[in-house]
Amino acid sequence: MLDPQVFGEALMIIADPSVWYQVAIGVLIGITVGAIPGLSTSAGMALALPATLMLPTGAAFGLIIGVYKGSTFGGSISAITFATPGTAGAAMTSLDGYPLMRQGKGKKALQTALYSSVTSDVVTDLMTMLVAPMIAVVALSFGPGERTALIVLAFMLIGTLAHESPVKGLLAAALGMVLGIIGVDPVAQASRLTFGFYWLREGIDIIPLMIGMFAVSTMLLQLTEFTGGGKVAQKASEVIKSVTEGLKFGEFRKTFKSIGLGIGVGSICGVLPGLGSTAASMLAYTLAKRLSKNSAEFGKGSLEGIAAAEAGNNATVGPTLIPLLAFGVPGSTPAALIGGALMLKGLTPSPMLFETHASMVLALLLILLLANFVNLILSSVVFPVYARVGQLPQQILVPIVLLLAIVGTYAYRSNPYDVLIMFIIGIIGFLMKVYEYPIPPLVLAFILTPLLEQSLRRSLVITRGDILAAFSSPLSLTMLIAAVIVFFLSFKFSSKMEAVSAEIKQDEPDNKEVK
Amino acid sequence: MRIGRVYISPDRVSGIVIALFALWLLYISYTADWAFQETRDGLSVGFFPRITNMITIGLALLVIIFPAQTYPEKLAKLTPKGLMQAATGFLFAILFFVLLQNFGFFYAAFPCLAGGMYLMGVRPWYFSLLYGAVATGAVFGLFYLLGFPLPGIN
Repeated sequence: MLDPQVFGEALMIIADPSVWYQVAIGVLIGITVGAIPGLSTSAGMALALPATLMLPTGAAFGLIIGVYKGSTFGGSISAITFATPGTAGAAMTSLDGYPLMRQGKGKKALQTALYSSVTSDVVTDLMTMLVAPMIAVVALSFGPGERTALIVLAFMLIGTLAHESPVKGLLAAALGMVLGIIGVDPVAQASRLTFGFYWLREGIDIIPLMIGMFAVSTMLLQLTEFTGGGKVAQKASEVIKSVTEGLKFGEFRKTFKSIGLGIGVGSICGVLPGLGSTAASMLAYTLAKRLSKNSAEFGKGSLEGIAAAEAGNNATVGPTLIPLLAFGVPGSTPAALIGGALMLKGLTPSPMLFETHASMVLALLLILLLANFVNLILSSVVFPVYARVGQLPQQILVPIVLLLAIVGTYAYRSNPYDVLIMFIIGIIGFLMKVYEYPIPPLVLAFILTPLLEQSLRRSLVITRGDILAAFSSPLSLTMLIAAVIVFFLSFKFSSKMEAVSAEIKQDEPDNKEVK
Repeated sequence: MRIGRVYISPDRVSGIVIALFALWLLYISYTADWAFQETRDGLSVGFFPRITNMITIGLALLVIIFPAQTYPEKLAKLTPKGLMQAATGFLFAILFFVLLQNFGFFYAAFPCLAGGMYLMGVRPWYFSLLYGAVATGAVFGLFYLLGFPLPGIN
């Protein structure tokens, strides 16, 4: 039952104009990041993370959630206008969005993407607001043994689902664990694996890790692939020409079924650790195509296709916070970054948060909802302009992003070693990308490792070192068995996943001849 | 990678590097002075690092034994010229950081942005200066709007 006092306090937090202001800035930054191919949602959120430290808690939530919402939609702008998805989650949107663009119906496609994104966002955010506190009540009954088993299961899901090769995904997660244990032992306060460097005593901070992994590594990779010149310059005139024909309500109504499917599929993918928005939009699109009466239109400029992909993509945004808020276990990179912002504000994600800082959690959820309306208004106004932002050439983009990465990492606590760590992590991230190791499992494992260690050690203390007794409860056993099943099933399905991804690569507009 | 007549696939190379790294860390977590220091909960400080590194070695061995059948696309596209470009960009980033620490934001950002853009091919040269100035102003404006203090600016 919602406590009126808590609700009142949460309303007081979001009534602060600085919250609205930061949400608006966040959405604009997010749309920019999303619209520029090569900059991911995670990179944008990671670059915004240091700024949250300087802001009041409500405004900090506003900024980071604004970036998340804005970039999730922003990815569809370049997907539709240039057939180049700004974010991975928007890849399916380009299948129908770009053909519509070529037919001179770019505005219709962009509006379908925006309205289906916001509809899906609002519904799933409300669902998150209802479900997260209920699950947190259940999570409160979890002991350290159950929590350890849950984290092991999350590791297994994140590692195996993030990549076609489950072993490489799990190995990336293991590397995240290695990075996560550097620093002081939580019980003995003794330094471990610091290689004699005093500045590693406090461990690796989340900001240099996130910025290094997502922003620096991406820019280094872009530099290796840089050949000079912008390839999409001639398409600006098409963008301007295509923003004339808008979406009619009758047309939008026909997409309701696809949006519903997207919401269903996306919210499930959002809750499950490791799946994320790319899988959600892919599954929603495939399902909508199978169930549609106009399935032949899919891939040629179907509004239903855009609606399904975008609704599926955005439906993950709210539900991905459920495992974070209810169990303290982030199930996706954006959730981990929001968890990072919470930690920077002294709010460690756990089910206890609903009791100790109930108004803050409610304010976070209300901001999640509020950001949709800000996104709707701002995106409607700015998308014709942002369609051209996606054309920003690499010659300008790369130096700016590298500069933002360095300033953001250094300025938040004026520690030069943070920049050094960011550079090292950037190189590791670059090598991981080159050798095709997924980055999200590493980041999520890095964040979960202290929690895992704490829970495992507590459970061993309770059972006096008896590891079997620590996991003897039916719930722990079930989760551990599920983890083992996931491990073995992932090998069975990995070859199928490779085949599906190859098929999708073939379907991508870049690989199709556009008439 | 080819050593003599033996071809080692990229997955195996990465697996070997990770396994060796984890092996080194495992060695440290057995031999360092903190490795067997007892804690209040009865475990040693090295307990968790040892488990973590053993898991890493195990998984790296799996990658070595069962490497992917495909060659990584991005690795295939990697050229010496591309690596040089990345290295130059990286050095430029380090130069920017040194200037930032010693001279503050404006004196570091403008020359590095303009220089970086020129190196990446923005022509004619005065366009690099113009874009560099606009980008410096935009970044400053963004951080100002976010209330984020920049080095060298009060």
